[in-house]
Amino acid sequence: MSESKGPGITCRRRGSSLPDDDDLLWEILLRLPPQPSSLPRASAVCKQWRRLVIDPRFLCSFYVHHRKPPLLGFFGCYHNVVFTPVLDAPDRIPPKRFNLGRYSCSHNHGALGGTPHKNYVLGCRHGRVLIIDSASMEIVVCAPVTHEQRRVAIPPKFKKVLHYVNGAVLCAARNQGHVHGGCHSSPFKVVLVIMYSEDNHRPLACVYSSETDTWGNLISTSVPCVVIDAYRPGSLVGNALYWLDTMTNGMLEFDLKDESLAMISGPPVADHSSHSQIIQGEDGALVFAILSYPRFYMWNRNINDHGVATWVMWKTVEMHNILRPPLQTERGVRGAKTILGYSEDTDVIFIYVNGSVYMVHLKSMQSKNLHETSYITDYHPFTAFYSPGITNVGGCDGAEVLHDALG
Amino acid sequence: MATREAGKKMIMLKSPDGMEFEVEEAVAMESQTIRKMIEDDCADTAILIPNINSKILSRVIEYCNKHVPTTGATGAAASDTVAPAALAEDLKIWDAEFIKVNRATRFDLIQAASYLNIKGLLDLTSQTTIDTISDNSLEEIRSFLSTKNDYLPEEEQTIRRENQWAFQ
Repeated sequence: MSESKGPGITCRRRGSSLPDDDDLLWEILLRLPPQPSSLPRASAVCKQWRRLVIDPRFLCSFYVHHRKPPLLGFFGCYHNVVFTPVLDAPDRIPPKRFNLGRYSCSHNHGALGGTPHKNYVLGCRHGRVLIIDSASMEIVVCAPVTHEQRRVAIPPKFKKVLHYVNGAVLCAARNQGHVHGGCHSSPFKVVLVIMYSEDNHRPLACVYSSETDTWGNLISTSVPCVVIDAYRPGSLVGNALYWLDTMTNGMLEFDLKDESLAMISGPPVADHSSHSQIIQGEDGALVFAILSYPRFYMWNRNINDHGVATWVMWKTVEMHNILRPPLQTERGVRGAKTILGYSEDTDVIFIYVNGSVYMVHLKSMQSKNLHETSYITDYHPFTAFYSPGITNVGGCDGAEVLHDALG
Repeated sequence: MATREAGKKMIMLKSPDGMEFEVEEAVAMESQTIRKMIEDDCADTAILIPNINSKILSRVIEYCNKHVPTTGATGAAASDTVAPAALAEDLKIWDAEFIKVNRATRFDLIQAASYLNIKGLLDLTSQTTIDTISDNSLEEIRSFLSTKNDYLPEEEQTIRRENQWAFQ
């Protein structure tokens, strides 16, 4: 907010026109909806409006005013890494606007036991997409809004077991009042984890900082543990990242503050399959969600005064009452039902039920049928604020500009 | 919620057209600008509010009177029996009626809210303006706000092309 804006303004009356004072216009335009078409449209009204809505100081206020960036769509691995919008026109950003380039996701595995030469999207967060480029043994951090990217060599220990690697990208801005969603050019961190280490049967983690352009030390769990299948995108809940092991219901927890790695157990459920997802509950609680169609269960992890954690059933939702339009027939891949993705910023999950993809808002339990498909892949939701003329600007934090703009 | 002293301290607000409004200090202090003047001891018994005519100032006072914490319509302390959600809903309905004013008055209220630094009123007036125009075409927005299009046709085309999808 522009607390300094109030007193001291001058008044120029022009009948029933909007005051042409920049400060007042600032206050009004701040309240434009956070949808991506708002600022590009405002910028076309007149030069004064454009000057204002591309001003980084205004953009910071705009982000602070709205707090949460809108869900623009999701990135998925088809033949390539592709953006799919979820909003209606005029907020429907075309896939080519967020074209990341040549990241083939074709399932071109090498010989049995060899390294598959394909690219993986590990996750999206805070305006960036994290991709593993298997051919060059690099991670690629892309900022689709600005078309900037950074390539970083994967640490040697991780290169040997690339197909066991998962990871997450997140904004590392430390300035007070920073709101994620406009942080396309803020410093960032990447956390890579190896689910399985041949040396000592312990998962490993390593953190990359864009500020120092270096990887930190290897971090391991304090006790040996077995992680079998934790390849789904991680979730950021509170100050920790979680990767769910869908075979054991356990989860890897990486504490961002302490930079520590631990394996914690999930709730006592029999149906441990790929239909589960770690989500953020009320008051930042860790929630284990399971789609066991036709029900959607949510377990809350409570921690008592002595630090002992227990899983408690929090909510059960009958999906018949949620999905709109209701399911009529069994279609799709053998009636498959699974969770495709989760947006932390907007509390939305993407689920696949009998050939249809639904977007479900977990707070309101409102749903929207997005499309029909027989191709099941992870959906990496992408949330961001959108401003005209934003390419290669310094951003709110006046921070660095990423290297290696796409050719 | 803040408690109010039994004895109400009153202050006088004067508009440039010579009207005087006696209001409770708590009501006047809904304006951060006036609050600062009072706290800094810059306020005499009467405070001149420049730029805001009596018609607009009276509406602003009406707004502050309604929104001052712990004060109900009758001036009695807020009842503990009224749920906060019900009070909020009541205020929302009241605000919706309050803002049913013509365009010129609304713009004057935006200026007054900004000058007097009354966040709630600034939110209400600015948001109502944005809600009015957000679904309109550029031409309708310019017309409604009497804003002149100072782009050359080719400049406007360039800006539209930059994010063509936003204009569909």
